[in-house]
Amino acid sequence: MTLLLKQIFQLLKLINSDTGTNQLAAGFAMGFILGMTPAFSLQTLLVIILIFFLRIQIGAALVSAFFFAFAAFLLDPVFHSVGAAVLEAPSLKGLFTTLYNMPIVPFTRFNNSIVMGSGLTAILLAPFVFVFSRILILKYREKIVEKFKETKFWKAIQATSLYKWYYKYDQIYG
Amino acid sequence: MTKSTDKKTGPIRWQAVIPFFIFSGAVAAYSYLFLDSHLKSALELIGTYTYGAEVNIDELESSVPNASLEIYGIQITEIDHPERNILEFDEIRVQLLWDALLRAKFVISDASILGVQTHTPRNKPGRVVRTKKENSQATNAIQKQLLGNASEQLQGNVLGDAAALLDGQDPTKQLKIIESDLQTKKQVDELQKSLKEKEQSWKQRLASLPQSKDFDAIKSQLKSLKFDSKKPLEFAKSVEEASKILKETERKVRHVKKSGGELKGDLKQFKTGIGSLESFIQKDIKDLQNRIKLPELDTKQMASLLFGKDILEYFRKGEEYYALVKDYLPEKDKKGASGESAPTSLTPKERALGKNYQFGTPTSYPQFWLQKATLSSDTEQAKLSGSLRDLSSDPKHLRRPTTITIKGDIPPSELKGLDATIELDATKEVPEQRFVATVQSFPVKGKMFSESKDVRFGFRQASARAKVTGLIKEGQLFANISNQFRKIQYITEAKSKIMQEVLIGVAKDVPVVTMDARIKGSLREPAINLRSNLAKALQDSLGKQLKQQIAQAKAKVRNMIESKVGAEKAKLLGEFNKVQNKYLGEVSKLQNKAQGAQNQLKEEIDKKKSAKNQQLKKVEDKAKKELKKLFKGLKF
Repeated sequence: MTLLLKQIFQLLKLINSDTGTNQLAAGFAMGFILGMTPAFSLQTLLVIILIFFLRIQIGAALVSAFFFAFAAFLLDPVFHSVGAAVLEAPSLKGLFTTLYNMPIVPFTRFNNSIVMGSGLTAILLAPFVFVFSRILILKYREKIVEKFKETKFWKAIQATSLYKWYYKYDQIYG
Repeated sequence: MTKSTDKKTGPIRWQAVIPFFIFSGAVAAYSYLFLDSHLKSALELIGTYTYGAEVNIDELESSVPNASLEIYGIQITEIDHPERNILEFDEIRVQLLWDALLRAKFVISDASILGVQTHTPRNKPGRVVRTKKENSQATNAIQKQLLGNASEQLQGNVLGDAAALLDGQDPTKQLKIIESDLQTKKQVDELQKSLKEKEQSWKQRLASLPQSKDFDAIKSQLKSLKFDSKKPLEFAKSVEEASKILKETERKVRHVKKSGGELKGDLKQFKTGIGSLESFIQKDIKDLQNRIKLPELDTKQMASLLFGKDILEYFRKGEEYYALVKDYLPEKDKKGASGESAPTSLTPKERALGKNYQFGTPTSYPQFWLQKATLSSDTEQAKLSGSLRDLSSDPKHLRRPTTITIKGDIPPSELKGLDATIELDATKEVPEQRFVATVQSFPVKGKMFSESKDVRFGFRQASARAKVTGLIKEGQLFANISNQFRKIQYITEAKSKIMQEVLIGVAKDVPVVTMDARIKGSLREPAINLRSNLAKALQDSLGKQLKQQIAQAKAKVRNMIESKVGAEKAKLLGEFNKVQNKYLGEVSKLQNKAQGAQNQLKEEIDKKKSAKNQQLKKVEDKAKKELKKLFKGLKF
């Protein structure tokens, strides 16, 4: 829980700083994949490992996964149609038969129409989510954060000893 | 706002490596140190609450590299006798295939159940969390067919009633007891009461009808009319008055006829009520026969009385074992009263299940496949060997039915030559279950067919052989149960000398007793046909002796009932005839009188009209003649 809270605070800090844009955007893209996947499967584990071992903002991934999971069920009929169309394609039957009988691969549950549909959709849309969230973060920083920094309220806050103390602490311990 | 917290580092988060290894190490340590004991406790808990009585496991060893599980010393408490185990296993070994596990399939290549023992004593009584269930609908249906409404205790006294009859049992005592309950007597009393009420009603109705004097008055009225043909006006007035009287008379005649018809209907209905007394007499005779237990010598019924309890026991045992499995069969998802379970916390809505596609090849594994489980026991309790083969989640793909075989002996019960095969075939469109079980020999001790103060008949001891075959398909059960009893030592004791002779004769003639049951029909309410050569032999022997006695007893019962209610029935019939004659006579007399008056009135009116017409014709003729004369005189 502490780790989770720390990651969420880190997310807030990063989103309001000038750096870490790619980490945040990658976090949102990975969270999108996690949120769209209906059940625990091999690819979910793979995404978690990627989030954990690569410099992807974990807070961003968890927060976006949480919110995308709420919306994902609305798209289940679409995912089912896409997955069924792919799984029923005669030209891919040989490939799927080989994959189905291979070791490890069945743990991806690719033979389920919703897993296949949501997986394909999420992987194909993930780069767009990455680019789109990157643009949004930059716009947010430019339009909202910069303007906020110019306000008297923020300047007053910066003038307080508490803020100075926090700024020093953050520089030393990060 | 912070400036930046990002440090210039590569894409890999190296800080995560150490926590990852710590986590992995903790998981490995837990698996090595605690997994087996926690798994053992979980299995004991699940076993106890799903079966309903304490389940104990001595030791459990699991191995991830070998994909194997070994459980030692499993004890399952018997629900009815917690001081002993219903089953005890020395060892259960399960070996899974890694080849299948890597494909997300569970294939058990070999499972061994060793050292199976039954009814072994426990060190301390086991905890029972569920009581034994009551009979199912199927058992109740079988019980009803075989034992009828008679109590089970009565079934053990099948020959007692026959013996009492052979001793010349007198039904008078029973008749005295049920005298006040005789249905015929009650009906006669009711009819008598009803006759009195009806008589009163008929009396009142008769009084309300036009009487004889009324019709005499009509005649007088008619006579008073003057049909004076010389005065046409007065004549017409008299005719009009006569028509009025006629209409009034006709109305009264209709009333009398209608009431007469109703009375006849009432009397007919009452007569039918008296006629139905015969059916009440028959019912009373049947009741009395049942009370004094006149035996019905029907082979099928006799076989049911002799062996019904045995068949019922087969069903009870079968259902007990089926209940153990039935509880674990998947059920439909249970939802709340509203049909949907409301989320209690902030959680995403449940996702759709989608459709799972199968891309299996003819040689691929099904999702679950128990290839072979071996059962073996070589203890003093049981010398059994058996196997369970090809239990799978997709028998159609596997194209192999599940087969269970058990062979061996159970020395404590002296049960020898057990050979059972159960085949669960779900490879076809319509699944079917077949079973064949034979026991070459098992002892039967103290099996009593009749045990009363008058007669004791049964097996002191015998050696039995049993065979059960069956098929369950589309909810229908087809089964044959065949028992054979040999080396029989009969118990043939009876107070009645004739009965003793009959029993000794039967015992001599039937050295091998057979019992064959055919069960057919739906699983819930199967129909059963039971036959036995012992029943046939008893029927033949007793039939000769009892035929005359039964006929005599039945005649005696009928005479007794007739004598009890005959007099009252005759009295009722006499009263009815008297009432019938009286009222029918009166009504008939009145009807005749009314009809007579009506006819007389009609005749009188017709006569007067006719006389008037003749008179008019005469005047007309005379006038015509006068006119002719007048025309001649004028020379036209």
